[in-house]
Parts: sequence; structure tokens; C-alpha cells
Amino acid sequence: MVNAGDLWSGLTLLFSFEALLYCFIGVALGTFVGVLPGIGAMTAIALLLPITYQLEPITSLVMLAGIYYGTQYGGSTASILLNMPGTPTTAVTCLDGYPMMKQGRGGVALLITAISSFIGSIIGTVALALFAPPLAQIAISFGSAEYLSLVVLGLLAVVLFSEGSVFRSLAAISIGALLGTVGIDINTGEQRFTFGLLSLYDGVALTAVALGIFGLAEVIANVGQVEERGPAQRISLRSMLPTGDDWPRSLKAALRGTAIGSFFGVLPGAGGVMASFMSYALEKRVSKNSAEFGHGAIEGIAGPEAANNANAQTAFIPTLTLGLPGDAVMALIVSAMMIQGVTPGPSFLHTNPALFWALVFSFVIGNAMLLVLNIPLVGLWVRLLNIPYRTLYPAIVVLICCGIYSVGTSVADVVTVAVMGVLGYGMRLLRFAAAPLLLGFVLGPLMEEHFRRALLLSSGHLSTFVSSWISVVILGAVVLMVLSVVVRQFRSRRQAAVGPSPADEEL
Amino acid sequence: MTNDGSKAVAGLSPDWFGGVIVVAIGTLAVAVASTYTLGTAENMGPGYFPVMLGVLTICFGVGILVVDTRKRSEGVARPALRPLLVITSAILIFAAVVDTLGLAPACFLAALISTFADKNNQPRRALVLAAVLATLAVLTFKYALGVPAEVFTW
Amino acid sequence: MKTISTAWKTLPALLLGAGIALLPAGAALAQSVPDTITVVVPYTPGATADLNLRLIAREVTETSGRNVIVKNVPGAGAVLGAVEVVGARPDGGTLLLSIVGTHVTSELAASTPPYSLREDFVPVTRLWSAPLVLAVDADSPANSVAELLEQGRQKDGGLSYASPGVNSASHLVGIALAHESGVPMRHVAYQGAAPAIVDLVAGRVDIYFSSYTAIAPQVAQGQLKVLAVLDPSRQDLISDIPTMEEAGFAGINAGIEFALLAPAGTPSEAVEVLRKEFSAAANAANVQETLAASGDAVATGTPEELAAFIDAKFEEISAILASR
Repeated sequence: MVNAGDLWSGLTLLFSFEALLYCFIGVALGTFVGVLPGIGAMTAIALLLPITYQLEPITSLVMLAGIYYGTQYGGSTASILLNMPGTPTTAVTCLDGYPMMKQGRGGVALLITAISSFIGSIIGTVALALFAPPLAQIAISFGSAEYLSLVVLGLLAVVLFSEGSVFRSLAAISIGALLGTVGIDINTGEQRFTFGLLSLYDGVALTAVALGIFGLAEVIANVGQVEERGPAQRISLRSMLPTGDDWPRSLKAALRGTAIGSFFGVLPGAGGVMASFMSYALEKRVSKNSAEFGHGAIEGIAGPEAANNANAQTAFIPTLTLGLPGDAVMALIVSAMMIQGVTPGPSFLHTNPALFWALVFSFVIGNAMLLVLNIPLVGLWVRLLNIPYRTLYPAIVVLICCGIYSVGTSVADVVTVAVMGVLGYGMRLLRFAAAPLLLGFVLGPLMEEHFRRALLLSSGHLSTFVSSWISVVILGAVVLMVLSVVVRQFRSRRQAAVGPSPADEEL
Repeated sequence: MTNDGSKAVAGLSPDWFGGVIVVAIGTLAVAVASTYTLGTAENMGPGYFPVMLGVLTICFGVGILVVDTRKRSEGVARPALRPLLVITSAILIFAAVVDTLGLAPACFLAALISTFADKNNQPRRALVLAAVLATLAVLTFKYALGVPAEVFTW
Repeated sequence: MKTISTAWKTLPALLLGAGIALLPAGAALAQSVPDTITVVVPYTPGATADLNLRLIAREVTETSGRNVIVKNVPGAGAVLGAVEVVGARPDGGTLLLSIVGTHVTSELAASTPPYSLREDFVPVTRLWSAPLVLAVDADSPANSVAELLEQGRQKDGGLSYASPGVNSASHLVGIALAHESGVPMRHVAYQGAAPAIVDLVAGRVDIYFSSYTAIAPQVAQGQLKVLAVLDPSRQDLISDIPTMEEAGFAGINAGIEFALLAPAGTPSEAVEVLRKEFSAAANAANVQETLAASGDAVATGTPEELAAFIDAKFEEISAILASR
């Protein structure tokens, strides 16, 4: 199965000064771009694509891949420090990372996310190395009916883990879903909610929404209190280190997150956003301290961070072994490969074993580089926070503007951030959480797309949704989850009639 | 998530206000989406899903109005109007100006305007800060990253 | 104070002198094409359209010495890129790479874009084209178009066919075939080629009219098979695949045709210069070879031919859309 000769030729291919240098450049750039809000792997890769024409296949691949998974390290930095997702996949990290920062545990959060990211990436890479062909088969067996059940599971998870009133979460989800329908309809080409604006033709940008309702809303809220904020706390080195309990909790969360992330990465089109918040939902569900979530639970950042990194690594599986990129960024990487004369696809492992293994080893080395890079940076970021807020916030505003503008040099995206910022601020005032809206925005259109397509493919037979064992299993899980919540509610109500009532937060 | 410690506006319940707004959004969505082809449940047109979502939104809004208002929540926090307006304007000005004047002026203006959200703003300090930020932004995005934006366009 | 007033006095003189100096240069510029040309590609970087054009652009740069820049302006189904070129100065410095079928269809089918392809643009030359092929799952019982259509007649609901997007060439040809053959065909739109190919390989969708390059790896691995080529003549790369004409459907041809357009008002001398340079580059041996390796065929011509081609496309697509 795995040929030692191939492994060796992969290693020798990788260990050239050029390849290693570009690996470093890629991961460093990826982290940098991930930290910056708005601009992400897509923009960075698109900008660097012409440079790769001049390079060797292994060099350009290693660099582009480095950017891709590198962004998953940097993205959580802004999430934790500023409640502003560096990439949409790290939006979930805001939920517990930012509270940790406010409790003075920002350094701990940054450190744990770096380590969790590393764990997720390494295990994800191992999965890629050893199980690529069978995992690719999973990708093929997921059709629209199966995706739909997954999306339903996701929506349920969002409702369950959201703070505050259920109706508010549900309303936020459905409004987010409505926002997601803006643009042209996939099946008919008809324009929805665009009011003739060309800039809305392709819909509202996910990055702009994430940046607006999390980051910008936070800035507006904080500036209003800039006089009330005391002088910035001096953050000591000691406070950056995780304490006893943190390690085992994070480790377990990271492992669970890795499993979830690896799974979602294999499914083309499922996305890192879904992986990260499914991990969050799971952590909240299995945790003994679930009340802590939303207020600085360390599993709430360890799990999702491991998930989105594992996702980034296993996303290479359908790309390399099927030739089918899972998202637009992967599609760019595929193009870069094809320019080099390398065609990813079913025969890739046979015709290019050296390249495959060189890439796999580059993931290991690249992630190690990232860990070494990011850990000292924790100190730097923490020190940056000591800058008085009245100087910091204009910088954040400029950063938001430039970051979102860089993605497509689109003025429309910048306006979207402003609008979403106002919306996000309004939501805070009225006690609506931001996360459900973002997730509704991602999941709603997916739900519609897969529902309609499944029906089209089956000529209108609804039975298609339960016809494969995958759908049945997933929908079964949904039913079980709903039942368990209902039972729990029932029990707590009964207890309330008898004794003191537990916190009335969930319903 | 919530504005801890800010002054509340007495008498304005976030549940009422929130519920009403949600119902309004839902109604608007249904109104616009019902002009699109609806189709049937088996063969959904582009309008079907949005109308359904709109209806659901209205239901959830009603849920907020009916259920959440039973709890006596504290009033809506007073919105920080000055930061809201100033910062939003800063970003919109960036959007308006970046293609016509260039990245550097846009960053400068955005930074400068946003400093006005701070009540204790000092004009000279603000100008210096804006200039520094504009320079850093251009160096990072234009030169370090190679974003195809013009520094100055005129 | 004093220095400023003297400056004000000399300013008009300076301006006059500069104007006189620039006049011949200005006249010369009006005659020829600028040294830097920007070709707007209305697709994301890295798409096949983009790669092939960059190859041609490099060739033009090398042979003519002109600096050709490729600018990606994706969005709104290739409309945003077109809008950018319409607004550019018509001095030969800006060109649009157009998939003719896409731009024509967006004018006819979707809500009208803020320009007219025939009025706001001047054709320069066609560049290359890629015919579509009819691909099915390797496990499909059909081994020819006739067998496939027969299957469709038997099946409740007819056949399903995938497309990378509504109103794409893959979509339209399905409408045409359904009309011609009388077999009901259900269109299933995907977001791009990749998810369509997944469903095809899994056998969830029956047909995909695809460019050969997109599915070549899967065909080579035996996951997919090609039943026909949608072109009047057989293709060198896949010479054992019959054409649709041979299968009895002479009118069902579809391909993705790339052409260069300039904004209206571009002087015809500039158009001629551009046509010559780009045609020569496209027909260069190495370019032809690279394109042929992925099943694309270089097909250049005169602006008049392109204009006629665009007119024909309008007619063809109107007819297809009307037959729905």
C-alpha cells in the first residue's frame, strides 16, 4: 500500500533549499494574511499565482498549500483579541476566545489555539497520508440528500448551543438565511433581493458579514465605553501559560475537533465554517461545564481550532485524489497544479507519488514551522493590546476597511461591512447573538440548494431523503438530539415544580 | 455580547422592540419574495424558500413577543449614537473614496473620521495617527501583499 | 508672495509650451495602440479561460514587445468584467476576453446587463474554442446516444443533466437536445464543474455536457465515459468518439468559444493591429500545442467573422430559450 521508495523520493524532493524556503514563505504569509481581517487565503493565492509559473511544481504547491492551512493559524488571533474573525472559519472562536481575553487569559487562549491547530493539522495530515483513497470514496457517496441531513444536523446544533432565548436564536438564523438568499438563484438564474444592483448579483460576501456583525459591532460598542475602560491591564508572562485544568480539557476537545474537522474536510463544499461550529456544538454538549460556554470555556476554542485546521488538511483529499476541489481556494490550487503540468485526480497517487509524499511531508514541516512561528507571536499580540484603545480602534477601522477591500477590490463589500456593523450593533442592543445569524447565512442557502437538487435528481420523490444509510444515520442523530433536549426540559420543569429551578437560560 | 454596565433606556423593552423588528423583517421578506416565481414544494421556484423563511421569521418574532416579554428584562441599553454614526460614516467614506482618490487618502480619511467617535479627541493627535495608519496600511496591503489598489488616483 | 506671483505669470507660458510639445506625440498615439494593453478576464484567476489567455498574452508580449497585462474581474456571471471594459477608454488599450455564449445568454435570458454586446463592443477576433462532449457515468447501461435516449424514454421523468450554472452552454444544449429528441430532460444546476462531476461519477445525475478537459482524468480512470462530441467533426484528442451528427442530431453542437472584444469607439486601425498580434500569438506553435493538449482548438478570424458569429449566437440562443 504505502511504498517506502515513494516516501523516500517524496522526502528527497522536499528537502531542497528552495522548497523548504517557499514552504516557510507560504506558511508565514498564510498566518499573516489570516491575522488580517477580511483578506484571506483566496486573495493571497490569487495574487501569488503568477509567481508560481516560474517555480518548480513542488515549490509552488508547497507554498500555496502553506498559505491555505497557514491562514487557519492566524485567523483566531483577531477573533480572540478583538472579537473580529480573521477568517470566517474562526468566527466561532470569538465566542469563547474573546471572553477569555477580557478575563485576562488572552495569552492562554492564543497559545491553546496554536497548539490545537497543530494537533488538528498533524492528525489531519496523517489521515491524508494513509487513508486518502477510502476517504475520497466518502466524498463521492455524499449526494445532496446526505448533505441536506448534515445541514439539518448543523442547524439543530446551532439552535442548541446558542445562548439566550430560543426564539431569538431561531429568528437570527432565519434572518441570516434570508440574507444568504440574496443574489441569483442557482436553479433558475432569477435574481432575488438584488433590487437591480449588480453588486448584489453574486450575493452578500460571507467575509463582510462576519467582519461586520462581529468585529465592527464590537468596535462601535467599545468606543462608546472608551472612557469607562480602565488603563489596559499589564499582562504578565505567567498569565500567558495555561493552568493545570486547561491542558487535559483542551487536548480532549482538540482531538474531538480533529475528528469532526477531518470528516468535513473530505466533503467538498461542506466548508470550514460548518466544521468549526459543529465542533463547538459538540464540545458544549459533552462538557460538564457547559454553562461556561460563551464566557471563556477553553474547549470552546480548542475544539473548533483543531477542527478548522484538520479541515484544511483533509480538504486536500478530494482535491488530490479526485481532482475535485472543495471550494474556490482549492480550485485555485488545482489550477496552479495544472499550470505546472500536474493533473490532480484519480491517478495522481500512481503517477506522482513523489509529489504527493513531498506535499504530505511539507504539511508536517509547515505546521511545525507555524507552531514555532506562532508561539512567540503570542507575546507580541498580547503586548499590542496594551496600546490604549483610543489609538487602537482607528487602526482597527482602517484594518477592517483595507482587509475587506483587498478581497475583491470591491466597494460593495466595504459597504456591506458597514451595514452589517450597524446590524450587529443593533442586535447586541436587543440581546440577539451574532453567531446564529452567521451560521444561518451559511447553512440556509446550503439547505435550499441541496433540498431542491435532491428532489430534482429523484424526480420529485421525497423518499430520496431517507434512501441512503448515511442520511438515515444522520437524521436519526437529529431525532435523538431533539428527544434528549425535550426529555431534559421535561425533567427540569418537573424539578422546578418540586424544587428550586435551574437557570432559566435555555428556553 | 450585551453592553454591560451601560445605562439602560427605561421603558423600552428589548423583547418588544426586538420582536417587532423581527416581525417587520419577516413581513418585508415575504412581501418581496412573493413576487418571485414560487413553484410547488416538489419543484421549488426561487421565491419558495425565501417566502418560507419570511414566514418562519414572522413566527419567531411573534414567539419573542409572546414568550420573551414574560420575563422582565432590563431595558434596552442606550445606544452609543456617536460611535455608531461616526464609525459607520468612516467606513462608508472609505468606500466612497477608495476608487476615486486611492487607498492612501481613503485610509487617512477613515482613520481621521473614526477618531471623532472619541469624545476626548484631540485634532492634532488625530491627524498624526491618521497619517501613520494610512502609511502603514498602504505599506502592508499595497506593497507587502500586492493588492491591486491604486495608492493615489488622480 | 513674490515667488507665487511670478509662478502664476509663467504658468500659462509653460502650459502652452507643453501643449505644443505634446501635440505630435498625441497625434502619434491616436494612430497606434498603446504600449500597455490590459485584457480583462471576467473569471477568477486560475480558471481555464484565464490560463489559456495568459499563455497567449505572454506570446504577444514576447513577439510584439507590447506589455500585455491580464486583469481578473470576476462576478455577476462575467457581466462585471464586461462592464469594466465598456467604461474603459476606447484607444485599444483595454480588451475583454469573452465566452461569447455566456455574454449572449446573459443578455437574452437573465435580467439585462447595463450594456449591449453588439452596440457597446467592437469585435476584434475569435481566439479558441472547446467543444463540449456528452459524458455519462461509466456504469451507465447506455453505450451510445441512441441507447441513452431510449433509456430516457423508458424512465419516469426522463433524463437528468448537470450544468455548472444556469444558462451555461451545458444547460442550453440540454434544452436543445430535449426539444430535438422529444425525451424529457431535467436540468440540474450546480455551482461550478466540480460538484457536477462528483454527482456524475456517483451516478446521481445521468448526463453532463462538459468540456473534455474537465473530465479527462475521470475518463482515463474509467469512472466516466464519453458518448459523443458536440461538434461537426471528430476531435483529434478523442478520435474514437462519434459526433452528435453521426448519432443523428446534426444541429446539436455546443462549445465554449472565446473571443476578444474592444469597447465601442476603438478606432479600426487599432482593432486591426490588435487582431494581427493576438491572432499570430494564438496561432503560434507552442500555444496551439498547449491548447490542443487539453482539447481546445485555436480558431482565429477577422472582426467581421466575429460579428457574424455573435449574430448567429444571438439567433441560436434565442431559439433555444424560446423552445423551453
